[in-house]
Amino acid sequence: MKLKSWISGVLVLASALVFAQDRKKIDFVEYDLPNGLHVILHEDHSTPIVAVTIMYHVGSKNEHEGRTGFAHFFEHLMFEGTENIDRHQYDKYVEGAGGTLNANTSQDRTFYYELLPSNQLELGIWLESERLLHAKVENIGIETQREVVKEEKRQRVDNQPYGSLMYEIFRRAYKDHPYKWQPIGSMEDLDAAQEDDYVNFYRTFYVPHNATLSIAGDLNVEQAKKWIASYFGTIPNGEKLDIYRDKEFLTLEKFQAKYAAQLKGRETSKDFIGDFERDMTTEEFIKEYFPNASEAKKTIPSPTVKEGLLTAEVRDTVYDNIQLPAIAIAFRTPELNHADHYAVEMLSMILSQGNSSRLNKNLVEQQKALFAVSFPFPLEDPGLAIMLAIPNMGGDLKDLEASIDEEVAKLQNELISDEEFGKLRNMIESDFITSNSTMAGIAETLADYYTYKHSTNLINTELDKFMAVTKADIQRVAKTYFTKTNRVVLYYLPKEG
Amino acid sequence: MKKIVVVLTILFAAVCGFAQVDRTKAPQPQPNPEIKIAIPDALTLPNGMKVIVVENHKLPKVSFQLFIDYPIAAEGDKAGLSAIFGELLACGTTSMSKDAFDQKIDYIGASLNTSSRGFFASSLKKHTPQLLTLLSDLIMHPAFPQEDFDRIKSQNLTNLASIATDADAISGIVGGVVNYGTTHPYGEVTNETTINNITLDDIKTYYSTYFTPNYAYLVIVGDVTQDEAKGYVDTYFASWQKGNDLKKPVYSLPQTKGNNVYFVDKPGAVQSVIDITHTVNLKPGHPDEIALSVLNGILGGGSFSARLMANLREDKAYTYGCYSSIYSDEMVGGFSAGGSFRNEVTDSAIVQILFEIDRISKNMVTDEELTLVKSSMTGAFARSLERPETVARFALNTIRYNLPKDYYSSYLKNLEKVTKEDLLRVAGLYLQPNHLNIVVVGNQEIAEKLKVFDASNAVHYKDYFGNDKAQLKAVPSGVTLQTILDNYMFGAFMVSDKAAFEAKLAKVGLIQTSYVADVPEMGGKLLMTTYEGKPNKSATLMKVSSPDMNAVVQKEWFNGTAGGTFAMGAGSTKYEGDELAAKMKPSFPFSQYYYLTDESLNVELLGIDVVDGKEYYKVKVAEKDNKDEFSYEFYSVETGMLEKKETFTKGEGEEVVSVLVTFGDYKDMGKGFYLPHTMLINTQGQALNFVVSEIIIKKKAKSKAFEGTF
Repeated sequence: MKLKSWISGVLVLASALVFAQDRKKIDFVEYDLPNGLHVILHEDHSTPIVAVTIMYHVGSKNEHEGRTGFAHFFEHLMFEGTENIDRHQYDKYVEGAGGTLNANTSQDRTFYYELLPSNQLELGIWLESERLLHAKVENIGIETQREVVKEEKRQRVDNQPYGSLMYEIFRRAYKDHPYKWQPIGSMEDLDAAQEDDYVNFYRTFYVPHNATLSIAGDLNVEQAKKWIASYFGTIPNGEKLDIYRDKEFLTLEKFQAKYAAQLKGRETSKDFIGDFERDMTTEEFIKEYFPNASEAKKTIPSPTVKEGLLTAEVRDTVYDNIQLPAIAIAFRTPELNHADHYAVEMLSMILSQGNSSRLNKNLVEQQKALFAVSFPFPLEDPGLAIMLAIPNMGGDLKDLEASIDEEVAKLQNELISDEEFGKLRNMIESDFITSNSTMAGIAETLADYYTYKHSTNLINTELDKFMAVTKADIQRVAKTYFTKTNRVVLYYLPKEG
Repeated sequence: MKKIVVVLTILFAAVCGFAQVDRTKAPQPQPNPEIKIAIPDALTLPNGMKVIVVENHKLPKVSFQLFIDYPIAAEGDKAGLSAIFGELLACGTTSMSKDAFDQKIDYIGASLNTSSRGFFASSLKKHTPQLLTLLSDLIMHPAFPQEDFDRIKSQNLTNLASIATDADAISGIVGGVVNYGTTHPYGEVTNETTINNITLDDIKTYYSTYFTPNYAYLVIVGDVTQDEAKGYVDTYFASWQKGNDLKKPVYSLPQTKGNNVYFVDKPGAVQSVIDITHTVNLKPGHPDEIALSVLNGILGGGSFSARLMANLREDKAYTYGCYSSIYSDEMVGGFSAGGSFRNEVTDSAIVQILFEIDRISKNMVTDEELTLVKSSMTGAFARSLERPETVARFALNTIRYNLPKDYYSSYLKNLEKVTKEDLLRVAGLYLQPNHLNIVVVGNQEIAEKLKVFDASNAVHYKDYFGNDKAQLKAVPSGVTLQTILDNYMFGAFMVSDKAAFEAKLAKVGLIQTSYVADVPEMGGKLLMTTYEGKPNKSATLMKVSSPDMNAVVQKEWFNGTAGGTFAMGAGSTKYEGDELAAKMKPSFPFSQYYYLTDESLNVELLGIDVVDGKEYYKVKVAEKDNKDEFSYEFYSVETGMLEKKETFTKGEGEEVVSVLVTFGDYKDMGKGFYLPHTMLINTQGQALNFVVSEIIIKKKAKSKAFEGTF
């Protein structure tokens, strides 16, 4: 017995040593433009394609009650066109160039991308710079996209069995933090939005120092830097950016009224009116009339409230259009940047990754559950780890809850075996190494690490953090976070009739 | 003033080092990048296996795809055999249980999927030897355990039942039948009978006949050198024994003359699935293949500006999506166009699709269309090369189909060369605008409107499995709804006339039936007892009995004036309102007894239908003020007994859920009543087979069950 555990200890050690040689480094350069835009470039010539991506550090957690769903709605509007790109032409440019494009929004960030043939890199940079500088938000676009987003919600949430699960969990798991609503938000809030809301949202969050431009693929770094300087480097920031956008989007009357105090009567002169309406580019105009406009970066608001561990269990029942009952258990877990993040991720994998995982073996294969998973939902502020199970035909939710509790208790009371720990480390290694295989994936991962952790090089080194987690750490996080007072328990039951 | 500004601008640009750009216009592309594709050669082992190695050292990962290219053959009365074989292949080896095998795959963080023609597996490079040890054991010594065979077979049968709810699946089956014929491998249909015909011995024979290295390709992709790969195959696959050579069977195709309309009735459907299709004689790598993909891109490829999408969605809003495809195949390729459309525009949609097929066959496309589709295809091709699996697929196709060595490296050049004239030529050569199979799965109500599209001005009806379905026949004179219902009730009571029936009914007050159903998925049984009491009492008790649990799952009871339900997990409720009113109505001994007198019902004799070769009187039962639910009842013409009842209920959205109950084994157990002793329930892909264990008949309608006490 002793000999056996000694041998497996050696094996674990040996495989840790192999890791060091196995990894291939992902090289990148990164820098800030004077206006605050963060740029990351990864050069890889194996395929003549390039992924142009931009991540804005704004998600549903930057919204306010009464205006939920705004970050996601904005993402839709950002395809409507710009001062220089007519409505419905944004995607045509990309498709005509042989590329594809899309975007998505989470609680913490909004992410846009174009995947292009590498000879179209400049096009991609131009398109994204247009979006940042002066995206055009017109009423017709707002009306259309509002309906599209409503259809999206019907399809993904309302019309989907268990589609309301995240909504129901999060609204109970948070009291004050904006995580208590989902990125899709409330349709009433979207209906209630005023023109000022759009202007302010764009002005507050779509600014250079709140964005990370991450480009990966068949590119020449020096050439890419030049284009980025031309298209993004010329975008002002601060007060100057506000004036820039106002000059392009406001009518003369509104502009005059808004800047009367600064222009001190000059705004009614013939020259001014001529320059505003006709003769000058926006750059020239600002130079002429606002030579001292500040470019100082404005602070990006983000929620100040932090919600730590729950102090008492929240337990509730939800009735939904489903055939089979289900149970969801959610535990508050630390924020992405917390040292325990890695151990929490690993704990979820023990429960639910692979055919031989504990939930599959002890719940599904023992026919207590038709389906059982555990998945972490880490966020920039403290997040959740969620377990979800559907009982076998005729099974009781109470029994299923007891079985899940038993699995959690095992993790709290017993160290996992060397064999299982070895399997876990092998799975993590395999996932980590094979995850960065496409240009689009690499560009996004680089932007993620910079945005959330301000350490882009984690793309090469984060595996070390997982490998530093011990069996005792896993037991410790099981005891710290996976407790009965720190959880939400939801019974999902079929609606009557 | 102007001059100064210009000078200033130049100065400003110089100081900042930014080249001033004109952002009002989209930048022009750089010269087209050169796309390099190196297609590797294959290496052949003495046992016949061909090995293709695609080196890609970006990630320390190696994947293995085994593809056994044995001749495509029809499976006949055992259709479904190869699919079951492919699943069963993953269930352990002669020396290792499935559990142990799964554990080993997980331990090295690997992934594995099997199919009837091989597997796909991958892991980090350092685990490759362990992975290959497992894989070579699996393909040379598979276990084929009986219990997994039984499990997989029953899952496949369950899946068959779900076809009835899936219009796209039905459309696929019927399209295959009409395009290829039922004896062709692409047209044959898997059904309950063919699956039940399959034995474990068939699986073993299939394995030894077809699963041989003679026809095998092993495609190795990833962080591996040619030498390493050679070492792997020598160590792990060289000992795989060669099998016998197989003949390539030849199949003939039905000839489509003129346009044919095939219709499948899917009761309650709110959309029609339309597939307009014909076979195309196009082998992979044929010189016309590229022009045909451009043609398809313009007609109905993925973009919003493709003609079908622009016309039927963006312009007319008939649908969320309308697409077409033209595909090559080593046996026979095909053309297909269609989508899902609201009931009321089904015929209009067909008009527009036919119009577009006709238009592109007769007229030149525009320059803009050609340019847009070419550039989007060029981009998609380039992007696909990012995955080394694409190059591996190119290499495999090159050798499988004996393509010119530079087929893929010259693809973009050949794509660029395609002209409008080429498109008109291939459209004329390959599209058959006047010999189309028009397959529609939808609501019966719209069927007859479609006969104008058929060359013989008739709609050909099909069932879910592509069999001809005769339209309902008229009932012979003398047969009425009354005589059918009487026949059934008199038959069940074993009497010959109304007087005798009433006399016997006066002596019966309670019918209590107990059923048992095996549910292998939960390793136990479902026990159900139903109670019917005169005049309107009823109760049901459902229990689960398995090694893990014995519990009541569901209860219902009604004592004539009050009652309720209990469901595990949902708790108890009382009957109230409409539900209570419905329960109050008399229902003993059969609901049929009240069909002709209950004014709230709409009961209609539709005619004689043929199902699985047997004739039935088909009766439709609906409540007048409930549009969301109705049933069809099927009374055997031969015996008069109710053999099938299918109920359709509209759900929350627009989907329609059907429950089919098949009553069988009618017999008299010595009590003077002729009653069914099996009850098969099919719904939403689930099948439950209840067998009657006991029927108790009593004179008085007295039971504690009606009060909810069981």
